Amino acid sequence: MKFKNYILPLLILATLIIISLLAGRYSISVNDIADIISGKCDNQMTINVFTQIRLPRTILVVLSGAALALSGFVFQNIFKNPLVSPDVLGVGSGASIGVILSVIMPVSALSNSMSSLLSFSMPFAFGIFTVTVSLLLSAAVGKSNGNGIYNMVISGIIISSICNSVIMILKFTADPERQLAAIEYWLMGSFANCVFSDVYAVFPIILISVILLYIMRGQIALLSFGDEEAMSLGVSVSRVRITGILISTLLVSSVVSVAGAVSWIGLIVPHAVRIIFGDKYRMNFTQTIICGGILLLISDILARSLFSAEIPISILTTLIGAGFLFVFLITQRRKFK
Amino acid sequence: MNRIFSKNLLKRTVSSLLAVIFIVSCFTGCSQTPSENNSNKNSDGSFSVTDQIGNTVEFESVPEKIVSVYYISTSLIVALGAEDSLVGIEMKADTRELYKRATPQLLELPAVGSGKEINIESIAELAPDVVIIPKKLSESADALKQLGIDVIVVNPESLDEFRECVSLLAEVTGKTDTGKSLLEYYDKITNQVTEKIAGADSSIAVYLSSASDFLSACTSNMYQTYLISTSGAESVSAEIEDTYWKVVSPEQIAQWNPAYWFTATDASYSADDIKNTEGLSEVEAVKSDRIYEIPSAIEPWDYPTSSSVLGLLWMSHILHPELVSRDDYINEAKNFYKTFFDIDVTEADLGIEN
Repeated sequence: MKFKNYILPLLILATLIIISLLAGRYSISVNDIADIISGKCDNQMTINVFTQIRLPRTILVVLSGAALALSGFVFQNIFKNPLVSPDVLGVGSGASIGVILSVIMPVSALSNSMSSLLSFSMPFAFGIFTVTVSLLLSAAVGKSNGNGIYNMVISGIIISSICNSVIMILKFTADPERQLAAIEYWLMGSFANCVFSDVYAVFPIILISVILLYIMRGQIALLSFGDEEAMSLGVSVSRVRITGILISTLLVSSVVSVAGAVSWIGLIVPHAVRIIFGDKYRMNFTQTIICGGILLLISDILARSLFSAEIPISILTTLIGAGFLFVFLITQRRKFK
Repeated sequence: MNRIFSKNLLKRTVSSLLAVIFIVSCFTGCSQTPSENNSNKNSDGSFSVTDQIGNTVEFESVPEKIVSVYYISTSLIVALGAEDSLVGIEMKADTRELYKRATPQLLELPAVGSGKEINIESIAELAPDVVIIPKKLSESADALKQLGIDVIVVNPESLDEFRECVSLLAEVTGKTDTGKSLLEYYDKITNQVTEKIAGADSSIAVYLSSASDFLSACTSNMYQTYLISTSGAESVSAEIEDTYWKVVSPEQIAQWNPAYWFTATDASYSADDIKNTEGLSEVEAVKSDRIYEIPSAIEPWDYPTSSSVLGLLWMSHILHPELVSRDDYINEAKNFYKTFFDIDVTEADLGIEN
């Protein structure tokens, strides 16, 4: 049982990591990797491609997949709705504004380190800002009707819509030759630009967020029983809910900062995990993290290996995600009959 | 050894054949006047032209009021000497150095569109005789036609399409002689370059990245690919079949290992950004410090504009400095801007360092 629930997914992830290190447009064999590790490789280009491009990219994809899937898992539990993703409070739209601003603003005039810092921090800051505004709006409305979840969803819809409008304005004013294509590409997500400095930037955030959510996992689980029951069991519902949302937002924003908007992982992976392994909250928490890494890694291997040109990652995650949901719905329909 | 020799022989034969085909096609191009390409003229002054998506447009006389919402068509109209006919142009005209220098009056014209969309009511307000729009906005043509405004769609994406576009706009603006001169000038420079670099190594691997992102590569059917191949080199990213920039991974660039790296005019990144990118330091162009931004500060030489032939000269000089000198392209640039835009330019104006 332990093999199927934990070891098998871990083995699949490990196998995919090895494939990811071997797959790509630049030819690197197992022997090359062995030579690089043992210090015997004398082809500096191969060493650079492996250590400075492929290795950080693989690490970042696994981290990002895990982060997005876990944030989706937490959101679905907090909102007691399996069709919810972190985008419900506008984190994706807000972070996308940050991405577009970092493309439009003349950051190249700044020093390299300042430019990199701005490019990373803007999507991050805007993602968190958007969710904070959604929560504040929800709290303001909540004073009048007291329906927490409903208020949050409505506030999220309003703030997301405003963000989408801002995105359209920014795209409209963007230079069609120099900026628009880059914006469109970023909005479809890609790990093409990722290097080790991105790993250093997001790894501590993702690690700390995952640890905090792991510590809180019991309280988050109790939220799914309903506010009154959770309160009767000693859970501070508002505190746990807002903390969970903010930590999940940190996870999503950090991924958007380095890879742009990556769709569907947060929605589909928790679903897939429940279908494959059964709806067992404690196990699903870890399984979601592993399977997030698996799905995003498969998508990224395909994105960078199929053609000379990179395929934006969201095209593949959406295709795979929607395909899975389609199969899932058909299966459920047959079961029902 | 024999296989290598045969491969080289085959390569040279193919290169020679391509050069012959190119020169023949250039001369064929030279022999065609603009009127032979696109239009039918009647004795009463009326004429019809076929635009670049195959629509035939009839004019009773040469249009007096023209709206151009596309930078490339506007700059070609200026090069043709028909700027006085323009009553509306594209947005962000104040960012175009060419307009500021050659035709500052254009900056006062209403901005009625961009490469992304047009404002139909603003155009209607100007009551133009014809509107020039790029192919990507061709869906707007019907709305304009319903208002009784003629529309010409241009699509100067390849060398042939660029030539067609010049001829078409020359017919529409009634500047067929200038159009012919422009194309002849283009052919003259192209032939000079072809003659000068004949016999040179044509297998130099070149990577050209877009202005927005150095991982965004020039693809097979782009005008810039023609510039590279005509300059006596091979665009490494021409294996990607497309008509627009495509993003590639750093390791794909490492795999191509280009000897030269060109960046589009006015790139939003610097050569140092490329040099500082992890994993690219061993790429030949980076290692040998052969990263060059295509001029110029006045207008991009890598776009399908009238001045792109200067881009061809510049590129040939960078790739074959022993065959095409710096003076060759500098002097020709000065001559070009004086002839077609009536402005004197210096190297500093062009943004070219000594």
